[in-house]
Amino acid sequence: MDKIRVGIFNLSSCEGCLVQILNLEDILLNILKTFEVECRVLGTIGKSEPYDIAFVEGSVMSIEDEMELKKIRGASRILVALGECACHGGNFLVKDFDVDEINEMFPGSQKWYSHPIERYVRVDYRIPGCPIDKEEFFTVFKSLLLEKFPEQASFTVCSECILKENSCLIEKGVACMGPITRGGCKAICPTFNRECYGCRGLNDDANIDGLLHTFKEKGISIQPYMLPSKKGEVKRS
Amino acid sequence: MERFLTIDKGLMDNFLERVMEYYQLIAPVRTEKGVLFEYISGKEEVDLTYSGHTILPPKKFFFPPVEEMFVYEYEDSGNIRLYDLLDEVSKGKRVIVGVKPCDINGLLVLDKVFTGEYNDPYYAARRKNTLVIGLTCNRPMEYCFCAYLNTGPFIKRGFDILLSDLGDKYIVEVGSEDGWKLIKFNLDLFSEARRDDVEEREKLLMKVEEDIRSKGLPYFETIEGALREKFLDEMWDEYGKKCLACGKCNFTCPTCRCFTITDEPNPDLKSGKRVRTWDSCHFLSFTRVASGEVFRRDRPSRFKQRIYHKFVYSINEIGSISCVGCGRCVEVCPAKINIMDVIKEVTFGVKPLSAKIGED
Ligand code: SF4
Ligand code: SF4
Ligand code: SF4
Repeated sequence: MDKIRVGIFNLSSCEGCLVQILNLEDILLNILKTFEVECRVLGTIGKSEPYDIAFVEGSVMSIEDEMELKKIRGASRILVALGECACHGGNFLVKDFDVDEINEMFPGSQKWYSHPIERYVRVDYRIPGCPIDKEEFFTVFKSLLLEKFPEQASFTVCSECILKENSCLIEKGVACMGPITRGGCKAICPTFNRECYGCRGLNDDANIDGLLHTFKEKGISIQPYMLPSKKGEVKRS
Repeated sequence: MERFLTIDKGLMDNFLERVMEYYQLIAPVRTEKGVLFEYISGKEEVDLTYSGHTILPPKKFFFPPVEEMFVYEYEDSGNIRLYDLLDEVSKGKRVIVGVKPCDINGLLVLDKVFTGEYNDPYYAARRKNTLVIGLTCNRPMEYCFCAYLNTGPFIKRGFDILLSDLGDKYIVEVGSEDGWKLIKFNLDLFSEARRDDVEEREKLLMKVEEDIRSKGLPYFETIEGALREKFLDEMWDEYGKKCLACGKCNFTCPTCRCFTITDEPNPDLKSGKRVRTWDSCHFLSFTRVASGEVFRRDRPSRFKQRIYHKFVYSINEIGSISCVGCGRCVEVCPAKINIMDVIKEVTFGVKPLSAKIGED
């Protein structure tokens, strides 16, 4: 069997998703016994190397990022957006909201941009989350090696939360984003009594108005930066 | 088989302890989250005093949220070998204690689905190796409405043994041969019930029934017809705006049984397993077919599907409605959508939605 060439690249990010992949060391080595995988991690892309699968972590924050991303796309058969930054622009986007702390710490930061990679290139698959769930990454990786495209099901964080039989944070007056957030994290935050802040992005057909209505009826106040805009993209100034 | 005995509360522990010598015991356990059904390691964990219901219904022990069905393996010769995991399922014997009448009826609904026209061997094996000890209610909770659906607080079948709390003792009704065996070998712990014990139980349950019947709901026979008339009613748009399509109502429902199937390769990529996972009709991907088409794109139609399946389509499919009035879906709904309000609105034309979305 021909070698399957896999590249893992990163643009602007904290590299936390890559650490999640490293955390899979034991089982990843197992895969190498069956498939010849050539991995290139954290280097810049070479002249014209072709890749079967490229994982791209991080968002586009500069012309350099954009050029690098386009080169990766040109050299890859399948491109996977890895993590919240690549999928949606990431936590950097907190700068776009009028949060005093951020304005003081990073004056002028509203001028920067942080774009999901899909704004520049075609993306074949997305693994959301901040950081990614390593098991989800592994499931996608295995499927792609087998030339299969795993289905991205539209289930919510709430549906995973109730499977853990957690008591609901909204009931306790906390602004939890579980009902509109795409599941797959096994509701890790609400399970540890911390509200979901939506790191996996909006679920398909997310009912934002409905959730705001629910919050209002329960007297739950929310911060402006907790609000996604209708298009599923975060609003920017 | 109508046979009544009693057991002193102090002796219940002894009985459960003896049961645990031969069976794996599943029972309600009080935790900081609420009361949950769990596997028991010591009799002191068991809590038979709970009112209302557990967070997830006992369904999770018969039709698990994630279930591995079989393992496949590519051999070097190119053949594929399958190992059915059914044998594992059939091993061991279990007793589940403290199942409320609504939940017993929930299992009877699942029986019709999984052991009726199509036999699901995994579900059937789990049902077969598990005895059910029921527990009647002394006090209905805010959202209970079993009395309108004929699923409680009185219960006639679906249990091997039925307990009712009479203060210092339980009155015990034997419901099956297997249930009788469990008692026969521990007869030293039981006494014959007196006539007034049976009457006291009757009175208790009648009181519960009365309490529930003050909620002003219609009886289930009227719901189907009303729903058929209101298929195109605007009310569904209002509920569609309110519903967050989170799926919690499906997952906590003792009768919801929809699932999806996936194949999960092992790290060697030559073997793997087929897995069945709970799914929800509220999710957009639920009606997605191979071509990518989605049949129920808008939320009102998905909301409607849950209600119509429960009270209309189910009658054709299995000969009964698929709601047992446990009230779990009301309690867990973040948007506080109340299935009793839906029923009232459909049948009486009243508008119990507190405020319409879009008007605020
Ligand atoms: S705690 Fe959050 S995620 Fe869990 S059920 Fe409630 S709203 Fe959903
Ligand atoms: S629990 Fe409530 S909000 Fe969630 S899907 Fe069910 S009806 Fe809709
Ligand atoms: S629909 Fe609601 S009330 Fe009826 S059985 Fe299901 S969870 Fe209980």
